[in-house]
Amino acid sequence: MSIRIDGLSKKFGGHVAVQEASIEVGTGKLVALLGPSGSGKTTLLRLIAGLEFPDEGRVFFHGEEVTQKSAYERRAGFVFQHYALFQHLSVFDNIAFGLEVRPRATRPCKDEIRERVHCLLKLVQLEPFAKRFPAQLSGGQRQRVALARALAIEPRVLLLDEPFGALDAKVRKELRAWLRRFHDETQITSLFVTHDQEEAFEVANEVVILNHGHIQQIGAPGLIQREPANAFVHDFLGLDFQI
Amino acid sequence: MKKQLLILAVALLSASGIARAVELLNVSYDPTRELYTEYNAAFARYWKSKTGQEVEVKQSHGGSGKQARAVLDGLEADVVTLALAYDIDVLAEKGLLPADWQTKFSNNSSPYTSTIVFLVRKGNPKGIKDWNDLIRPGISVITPNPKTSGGARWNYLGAWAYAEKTFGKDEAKTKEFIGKLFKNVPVLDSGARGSTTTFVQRGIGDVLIAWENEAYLSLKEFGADKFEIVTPSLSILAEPPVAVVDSVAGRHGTRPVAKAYLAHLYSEEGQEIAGKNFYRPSDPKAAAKFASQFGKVTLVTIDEAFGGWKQAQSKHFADGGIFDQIYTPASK
Amino acid sequence: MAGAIQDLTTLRNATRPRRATEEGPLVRWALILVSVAFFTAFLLLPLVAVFAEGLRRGAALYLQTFTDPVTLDAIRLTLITAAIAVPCNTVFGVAAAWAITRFEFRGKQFFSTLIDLPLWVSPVIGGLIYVLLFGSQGVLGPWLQAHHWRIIYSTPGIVIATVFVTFPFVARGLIPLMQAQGVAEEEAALTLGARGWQLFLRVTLPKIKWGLLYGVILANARAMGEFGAVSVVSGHIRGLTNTVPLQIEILYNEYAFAAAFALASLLSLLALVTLGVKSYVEWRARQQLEESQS
Repeated sequence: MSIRIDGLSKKFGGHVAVQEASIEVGTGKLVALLGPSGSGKTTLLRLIAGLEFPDEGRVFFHGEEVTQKSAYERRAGFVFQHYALFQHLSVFDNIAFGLEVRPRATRPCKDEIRERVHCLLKLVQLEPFAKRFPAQLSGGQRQRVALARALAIEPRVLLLDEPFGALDAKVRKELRAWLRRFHDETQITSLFVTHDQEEAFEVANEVVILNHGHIQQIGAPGLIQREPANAFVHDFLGLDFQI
Repeated sequence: MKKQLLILAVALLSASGIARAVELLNVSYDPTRELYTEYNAAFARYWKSKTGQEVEVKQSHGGSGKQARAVLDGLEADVVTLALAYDIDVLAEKGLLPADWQTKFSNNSSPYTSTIVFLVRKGNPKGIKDWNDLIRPGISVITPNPKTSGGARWNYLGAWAYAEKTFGKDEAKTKEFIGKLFKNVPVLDSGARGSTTTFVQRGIGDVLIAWENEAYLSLKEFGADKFEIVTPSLSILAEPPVAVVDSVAGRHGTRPVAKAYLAHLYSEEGQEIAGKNFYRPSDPKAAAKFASQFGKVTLVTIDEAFGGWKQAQSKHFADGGIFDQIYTPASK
Repeated sequence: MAGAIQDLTTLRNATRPRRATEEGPLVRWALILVSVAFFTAFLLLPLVAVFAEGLRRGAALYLQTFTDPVTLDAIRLTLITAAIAVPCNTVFGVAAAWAITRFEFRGKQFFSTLIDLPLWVSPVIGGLIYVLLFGSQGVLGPWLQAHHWRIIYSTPGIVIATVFVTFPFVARGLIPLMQAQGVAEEEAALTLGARGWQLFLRVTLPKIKWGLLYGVILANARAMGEFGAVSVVSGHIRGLTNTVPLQIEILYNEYAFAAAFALASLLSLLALVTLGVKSYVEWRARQQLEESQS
């Protein structure tokens, strides 16, 4: 399931958040949106998810245009920076949520739901925590629940908004590696936002660098490092000046 | 209420003479609560025995002017039994009943009359004997607000009549008298009953200017050991009239019952109940029977002393009238 | 609800050591004493007096008050009015809170301020506007009369006037709460495929339930106790258009003082129950807030 965006633009009031963004994310790829704060990367992600609607431009999932479709129609799994777990529901119920709200026709039966949730809990290594509530979990655990919840609906694509931003350094490193392994296993088309270049370069197949709503460069990590497209990329990545 | 309307409409359409329950709304002034509680039960019995029909009379009480205003705004009164003719004239002006309504029942449509007397604390510590005692400095007088209360207007006119008799045609002196009287009033309630409660229960004031029937009722309720009645030398004949509100009764189909309801007030039973509740029955026989329970007082009528209600209302109680000119709250 | 959030802050502050800006113990005690004295004089004593006066003629007469058919009619009317007005305003309040906290539209601030209108306006005005609108001499009067629809001086008028005066309570309980809670969970639910009603019932409602309950309780207490607005539109027809507060006035004016106070004690009981439930709700809401913030 590939993602393609074509000339997306979005303004909030007088402020331009995203300008003429065009990206292609091939099926099964893991792409990072990298840039300083205010560069529009989160807005771009939300445009793809359907949580915002663009002023101009189009969004395609595997060739099918989804620009006018709202979030609940796009089946794009979204992992929020601050998890956005349902505080009043247990871990189990959080993960099962996406399946429980399906219309009667496509809703799996109770047993099936239970099986799937347990499968996911195993995947994120949180099986013993099924009955706990989000308030009783650590940051890293919550993030894994958020991930499992997003995966429960068998999303076409997976979108992560600074997934490790709220965690401390050690946990972040662990989860980073874990995410890489996870992606290799599942091959789900994923797009994640980060301001941490180390993270982007370590985890992603491809990196998109943004500044002030404009895309500066798209390419494999190694390529960008060897051939920065402009001065901004050069400075942002802290590369040595090359004559 | 709408359901009741429907039932009445069906009753009307079907063959007449079939007995069904009927409801009347009697919008009355403040002090008549006890009177109509007793009378309504008596009338229901009378009507049932006469026609076999069940009738329930619902009551609403409040300051006479306030009630008239409510009827104008849509309070669906089948009959009104208010404190003074002017309040019913107001309804006639808006077409709710004919302009000659007062001729529909005898005695100017007043089945009972009353007058204005004083209620004082037992032993009459302030020595109140007559109207001129009310203007003495340091006397606290309780009376309701003439703008809303019928009783208050009768009070005012009683005082004015007395002053006019004393000072002859010197209107300036009369005005001054009334002004002094109202200067002694600490609080103006909106209805006669409110003032009675202020005087009797809250213990405010030295003298209450009250409907005669209110005064006697207070004695009965609170014991003659707490209060006594002082009848002034001269007072005004208060004629609280009754009328069928034709437009409403017509809509409800209750005209015959409503007419009978008011007519029965003039019957022996009705007059007896009025007298028992300290109203002066207008039927001479009944009046004679109850004469001994009232004090002796020279009564003047509104027509004699004031040229009728229309004149009195416009001269004294309308916006900018004499009451507005002279009234200043006692605290000022 | 904002009060619950503030209380939490106070709780946190209370456990800190004394800061330079705090007043000395003398001032603190003086303030406490004045507050307690005020509370006792203006709230506690009258409340005690109501019960004392109601029981003055003995418990038997006290209970007899509640068997009088006219009084029972008044209680019934009060219950019916509250049963209609409170759910109505709950729906309005939730809808208004949702619109204000989730949408951007022109005049949003004005609308938000307008919701509070019934709180600043005298209740008498609240009743009068409906007389002016629906009375026979009013704007819609003739039309209503032609269709035999009675609003003023009948139950519908009383309900409408009550809806007016209790309108802000639910909305005001919810707006600051929903603003503080943010939309993250709702957005998450959207991405998971929930929409419309599902979103509201499964995600929003559980989050706002204590704030909602708080608003509903206050609205109910006000609906049952409202006097001014209802008095204007009532017509005071015995047994038909008198609510409990109006009936209390009538009993008082008929020298039935013990009965009046007995009925008043019923309202006072309602007030105490409301206070109790409100405190419980605030406590639970505080718990919920603490949990979600840890």
